[in-house]
Amino acid sequence: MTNSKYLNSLLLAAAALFLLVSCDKVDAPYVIRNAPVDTAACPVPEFPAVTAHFKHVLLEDYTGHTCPNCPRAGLIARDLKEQYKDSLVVIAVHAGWFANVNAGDPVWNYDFRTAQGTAWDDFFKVGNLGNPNGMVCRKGYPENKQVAKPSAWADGVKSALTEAPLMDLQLITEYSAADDKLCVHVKTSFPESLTGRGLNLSVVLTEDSIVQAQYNGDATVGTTPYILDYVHMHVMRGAVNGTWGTPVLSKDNTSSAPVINTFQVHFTGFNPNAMVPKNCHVVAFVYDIDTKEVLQAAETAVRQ
Amino acid sequence: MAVNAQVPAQKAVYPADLTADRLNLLIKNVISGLRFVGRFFYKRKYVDLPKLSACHKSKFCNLKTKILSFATFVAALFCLSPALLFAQGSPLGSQVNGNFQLDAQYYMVDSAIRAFPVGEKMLMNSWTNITYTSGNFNAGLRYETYLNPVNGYDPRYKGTGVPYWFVDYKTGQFQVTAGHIYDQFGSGMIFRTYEEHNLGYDNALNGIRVKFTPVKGIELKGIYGVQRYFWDYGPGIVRGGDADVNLNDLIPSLENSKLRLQLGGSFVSKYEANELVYNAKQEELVLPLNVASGAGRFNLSYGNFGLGAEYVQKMNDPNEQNNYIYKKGEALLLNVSYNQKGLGILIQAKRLDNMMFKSKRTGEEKVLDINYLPAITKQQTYTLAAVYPYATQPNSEMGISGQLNYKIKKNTWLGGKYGTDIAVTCSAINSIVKDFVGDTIKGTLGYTSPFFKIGDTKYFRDLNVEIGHKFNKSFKMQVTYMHEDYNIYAITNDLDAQGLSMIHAHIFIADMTYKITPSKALRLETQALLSKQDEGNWMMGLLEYTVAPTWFVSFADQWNYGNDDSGRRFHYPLVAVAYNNNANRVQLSYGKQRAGVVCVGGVCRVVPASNGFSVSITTSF
Repeated sequence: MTNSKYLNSLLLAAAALFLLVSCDKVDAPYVIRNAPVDTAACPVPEFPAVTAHFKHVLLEDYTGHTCPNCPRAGLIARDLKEQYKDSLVVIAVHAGWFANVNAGDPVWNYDFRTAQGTAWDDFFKVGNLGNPNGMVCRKGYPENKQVAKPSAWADGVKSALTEAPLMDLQLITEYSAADDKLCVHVKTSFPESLTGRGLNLSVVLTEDSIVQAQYNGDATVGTTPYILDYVHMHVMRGAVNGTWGTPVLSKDNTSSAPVINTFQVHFTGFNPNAMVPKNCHVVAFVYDIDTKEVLQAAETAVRQ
Repeated sequence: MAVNAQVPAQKAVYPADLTADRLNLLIKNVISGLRFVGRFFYKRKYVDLPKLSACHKSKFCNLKTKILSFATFVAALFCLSPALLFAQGSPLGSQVNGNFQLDAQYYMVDSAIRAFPVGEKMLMNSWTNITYTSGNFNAGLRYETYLNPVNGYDPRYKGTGVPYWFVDYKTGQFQVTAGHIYDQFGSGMIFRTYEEHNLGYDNALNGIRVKFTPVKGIELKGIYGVQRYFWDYGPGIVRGGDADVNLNDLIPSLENSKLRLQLGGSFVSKYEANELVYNAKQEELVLPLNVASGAGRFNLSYGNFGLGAEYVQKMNDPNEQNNYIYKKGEALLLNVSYNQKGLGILIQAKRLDNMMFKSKRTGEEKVLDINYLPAITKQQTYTLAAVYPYATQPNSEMGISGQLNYKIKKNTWLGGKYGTDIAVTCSAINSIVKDFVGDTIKGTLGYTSPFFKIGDTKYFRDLNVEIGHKFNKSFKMQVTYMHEDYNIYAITNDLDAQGLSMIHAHIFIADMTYKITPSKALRLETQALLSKQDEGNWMMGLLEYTVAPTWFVSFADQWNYGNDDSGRRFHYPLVAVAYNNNANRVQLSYGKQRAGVVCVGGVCRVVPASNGFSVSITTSF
């Protein structure tokens, strides 16, 4: 074979490869739909009447197990949680470069990442600015001011908590270990009409007390350069209803009647890593689909 | 986020994060480097070259001095480059070409014709192209300035810079282009990047192009890049390949055959990151990140006959312009021709279905097009004939056009001494049939469409008859009759036109030129547009006096004498004078311009009304 023929063959192979990889065909139904809920298996309970309205704030801590400065940010989140108790909901989203896994490594092979967390990280460009960083109610989007440094979290949370709640979120969970089944019921009520705003509800599971290795650059937090038996808290394990949630109020709404959403989750297979139900929490939050601002949040333990 | 249960509850100052520190360090280094270069260029007026030279020989030469010496070399190259370019001159066959154009307009308020105030009073567009060629090497750039863009241009062009540059070289079977690329595959229905000043349109591909010619008769082409978006680039990455096979060049036995056959095939794909798009039920759409399209084409000729076709198919491409439907796109272009001395016939047919293809799925209508959908209707040049121009409907249209050119022979009763040219063109464009799959469109397949079934909605009809005759050495005349049916709302998508009926217009044009002397000529153009719809009847007269090759003076007036609203029967006078000197031209004009639409090749832009002075300068070398 002449050199020219080799060249032609290589070019043809490159072209064929290009043809194969350059197309995504999407089949119906073209939208992300959550599986229909078996209401017989998850009967909707009676929600107690809301007697007072409180604002709850969502703090997302974008982190990674190979991030040396993240344990210090974790302490800030922990202190805020201790200060504001139930008024603050924390999710630790492992995403980005510092959350990458070295599969062949005996220590750094645990994958905390989730598809939804990575999608949020990509969308809000948190990891682009490095870790640790976070968002307080995702405020600042789309002006590209949504990413908050850990040093700004306290002010952000304090400020957000002063805002009047636009809705109430009530969460009821029922867990059956025998059936490996978790029923999640979320009621969204609107004290006042929110005409013209589109709102989505996102429901995620988090897990506490996962003991895995973590890089650490701060000797005041623990051993350096890493802590092998680090206890990871509020770790996002996945979204129950997709990356961007479920609609609860459409923009062309004429009445802001309460909405009850029910979801059914099986722990087995929910996350590639085994989960311990008693360490898990359900987090629900409602956000504006245009501004992405989280307007209300709620959290409850899986075992009640 | 993590909390170590073993950590004692002690407070510590939160340290600056690692990444931020690194970023700060990087920024400091860059600023330091810029300061260094700045000091070099602005403070060191004289460079001690012997010292630098000695430094190179010294093994103790430090890094800073080496950088200084490199900067000296770059500066010298930069300063001397014009000399080098021209020094290469003719011995190596190198040359530098360029052209320049400036269009400036001083605006005066004329609220009657809706010529609104312009804060800057004067607006200006200008650009300069420079191209360097030396053997198989080419390089070029274009400097553009819009301060601020003249009315009718997208205000996002505001600014100054070099948005276009390229380098290109050819070696052996390869030709490589890096930078900004204008190119097209086939007829352009799958890929075309181009620049058209009259439209204020530029979708140049910034990336690379490789052409490969393995044997005579086969050309393979690959492109990869992002598209110009005013002073930025679109979010999508465009990549594609094209193969063109000329069988007469490839097969020696067909080299002199009467049958000429050319085959081609293209593939283009765009990548765009995911975005959040919801349907009416606020369900998130699953968007394809990679959208592919493929095309096949042929051109065949046998003697006087010609036949050509291209078919393009685009995969699911939900975007803002098609209301996020998942239907595949299709385009078919056919042309049949016959040519002999004194006679030319061309018949074209086109079908487009969901073929808007952009590198920004939320893109506006006239930016970041990956493809170009050619027009088959006649491109009008006379003013009133262009009042209602047809704009290609990328989402769907189906049409046919015919063109007949015939020359009545000299020295016949009808042909006279010089012969008579007759041109007849006609076209008919309709919608396609759409069977919608549901009540809602967004986030569904959208519709199905039988390929050969013509839709009921008429978009456009036209018939043009042009007769040109030269009566003697001094006088020639061309008369034109045109009839047009124009569905203004369907074509312009202008909500103001919603509910307007089809516009029917008869247009008459007489264009007469009288040569007073070999270098002086007088041209009179009279036009009339008769319509009962829209703005009613128009007439126009233009008188032009030319002193070849330098001077040109003209006066024109458009009069909307038939407007139903008697208060809007405006005149639009325009006087212009131009001076030509070799490749230089300066034109001054003063007058009013009516609001309208300017179209080039089926692509149009809206031009607002204006009143004022204009200056246009063009030069080339």
